[in-house]
Amino acid sequence: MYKTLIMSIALAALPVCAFSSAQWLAERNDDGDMLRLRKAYEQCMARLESPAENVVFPLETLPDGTVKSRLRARRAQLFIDSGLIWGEGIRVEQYGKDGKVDSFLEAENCIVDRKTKTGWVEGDAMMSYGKSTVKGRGVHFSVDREFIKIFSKSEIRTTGLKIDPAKTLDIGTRK
Amino acid sequence: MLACFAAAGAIDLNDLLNPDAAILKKPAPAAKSAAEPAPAPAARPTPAAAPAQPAPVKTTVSAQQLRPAVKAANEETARLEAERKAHERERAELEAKLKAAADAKAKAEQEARAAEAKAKAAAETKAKAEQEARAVEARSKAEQDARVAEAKAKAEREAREQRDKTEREAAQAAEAAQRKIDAEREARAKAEAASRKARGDLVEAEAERSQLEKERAALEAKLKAAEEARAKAEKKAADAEAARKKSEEEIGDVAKKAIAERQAREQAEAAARAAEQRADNERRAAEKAVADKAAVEKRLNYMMNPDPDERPDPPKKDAATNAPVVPAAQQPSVVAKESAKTVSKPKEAGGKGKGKGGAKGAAAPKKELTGRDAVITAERTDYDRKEGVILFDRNVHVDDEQYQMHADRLFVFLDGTNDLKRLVAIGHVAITNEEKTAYCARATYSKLTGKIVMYSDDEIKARLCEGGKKGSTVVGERITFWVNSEQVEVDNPVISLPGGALKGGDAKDLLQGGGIGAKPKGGQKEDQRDRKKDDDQKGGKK
Repeated sequence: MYKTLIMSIALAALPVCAFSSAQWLAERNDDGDMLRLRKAYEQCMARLESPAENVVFPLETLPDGTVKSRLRARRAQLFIDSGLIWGEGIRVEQYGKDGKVDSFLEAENCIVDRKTKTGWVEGDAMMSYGKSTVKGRGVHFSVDREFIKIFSKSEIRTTGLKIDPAKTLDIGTRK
Repeated sequence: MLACFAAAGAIDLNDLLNPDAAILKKPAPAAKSAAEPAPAPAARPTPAAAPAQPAPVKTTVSAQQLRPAVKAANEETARLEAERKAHERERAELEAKLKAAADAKAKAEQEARAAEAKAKAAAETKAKAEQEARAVEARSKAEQDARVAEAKAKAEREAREQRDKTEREAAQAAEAAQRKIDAEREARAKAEAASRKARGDLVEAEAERSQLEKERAALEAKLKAAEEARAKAEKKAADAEAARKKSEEEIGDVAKKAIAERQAREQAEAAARAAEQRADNERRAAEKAVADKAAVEKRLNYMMNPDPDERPDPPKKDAATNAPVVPAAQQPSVVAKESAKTVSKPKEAGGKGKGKGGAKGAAAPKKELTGRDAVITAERTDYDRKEGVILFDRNVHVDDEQYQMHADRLFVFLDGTNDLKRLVAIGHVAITNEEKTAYCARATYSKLTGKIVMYSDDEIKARLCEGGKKGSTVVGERITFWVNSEQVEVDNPVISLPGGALKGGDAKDLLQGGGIGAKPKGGQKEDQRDRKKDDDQKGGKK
């Protein structure tokens, strides 16, 4: 009786908690922000004049003041009126608790909107975290919503897709 | 000359100068006149001193004697008078000169005084001008100092305003930071409350789980007891069957010996016909193999090529998949040819090397794994870290050391620690390793259950092909494969076996002992749960 009740509650809660791929795909297919940033990137390139060189500044800090992530740029310029930051030769490093580089992102050039905390990488980008590496060209990312969209030439190298590390995918093997 | 006269005649000169008086005068005592020397003329008498002449000496001289002297005296007097006049003129001239000099001197002095006054005035003017210049300079300096002081005061005022502004901004920033800290503290408190609540729920769930574990243990104990009872019953039935078979064998030995000779004769005839048919089949297979070799290599290159740009688009409809599959019992040789298309080269080589070893000998020596990374390529990738979902879209290719997979779309679901939880491949799914190949419309893999489920749709049937010499193929509505137990379950199966596969012990090996169609323990329940999950997911998509 008790088990049946638990099972019925679990089955009733399943559709609520289940991942809705249709809704998720609808949100992913909304590329309005990406198109806006691409247009802003072209405008910033037209307005670019005397950008600062060898820029380094922290992005996030821990409550004790330790730098959590840091941005380095070979060249960068801030557009105050639009709140956009253009950068070239970007490298964003995220540090672990031991102070070592936990993950990093390298981008050929990108633009970041400080208001929406979203960005667009026009050229090639490469991100490494753990033992996985992500490459691509044309990347749209959001810091708040924690997503990355790679629009072309995406390639991921990882060790996390082993179906069963102990066995091969030996479909239909007879004993 | 007067002294000569005095010495020669002892005549007073005054008498000479005034003869009337000299005549009338009484003579002076001789002693006295002789005793007193005549005064020596020190110098020519000045006109002023002329009146003060000594009293005349009275002598008795005749007039004749006195005439020359008077004449000389007159002359002398005239001369003296002239000299006096000259002297007066000279004195007048001198006085005039003196006066002129005095006047000139006075004039010069006046001029000097005037010049001095002028110089003094000029000096005063100059001093005044210098004083004015100093005053102007002092005024300009004072003005400059005033300007400097004003600028300094202005700078100080601006600095003070800037400092006030900075202090205000710092105060605002500190206030904002304080608000942020307060908000973080509230959020942390909320999170802690939620965590406490979650821990409470977790404790309750743990209690429920332990209760369920107890119930499950009780059920397993009952199940084990039932299994033991069933095993005992089966053992008894087997003993009874063995006894029955033994009796039947004893009865049938006589009949078997009688028909053995007839069967041997029929088998020899059948073997001869089979040899002829096999030779014919091998000849046709050789002809067909030459024609299919290019297609097989092309398909193999397609499956093994890791570069998505050079890889052709997957066919919309696989001719081999959609070809009508005929049950193996009816036309086994034809199905064997169809399945031979998917046989990989290494498997073929291994099969030939093993000879008639069958499926057991078909397991070629597996290559040594290097543990390299899996490479996933696609035209577009969406990575949602918050949801733990990665979507690979269009021309997805997974190049792993152990397998290769192609699909139109691949979902990767990750758990909280970014480990693989579930895979869903949709559209023209092809999975292969060096020995087996599977095609389907949709495939899912759950790491928790260790199960791969392949689904069919209207166009593509789920199809599992085994390479090697025999090339068996299984087609069904749904094919489920348990990775750990290596067992397969097929819904509505159609099994295609190569020609001659049902002879000998291969068919028995194929259909028994956890082969195709066998279900693991509890597989039925998991199957029902998976079906329900899939139905729910389909409903969510719609």
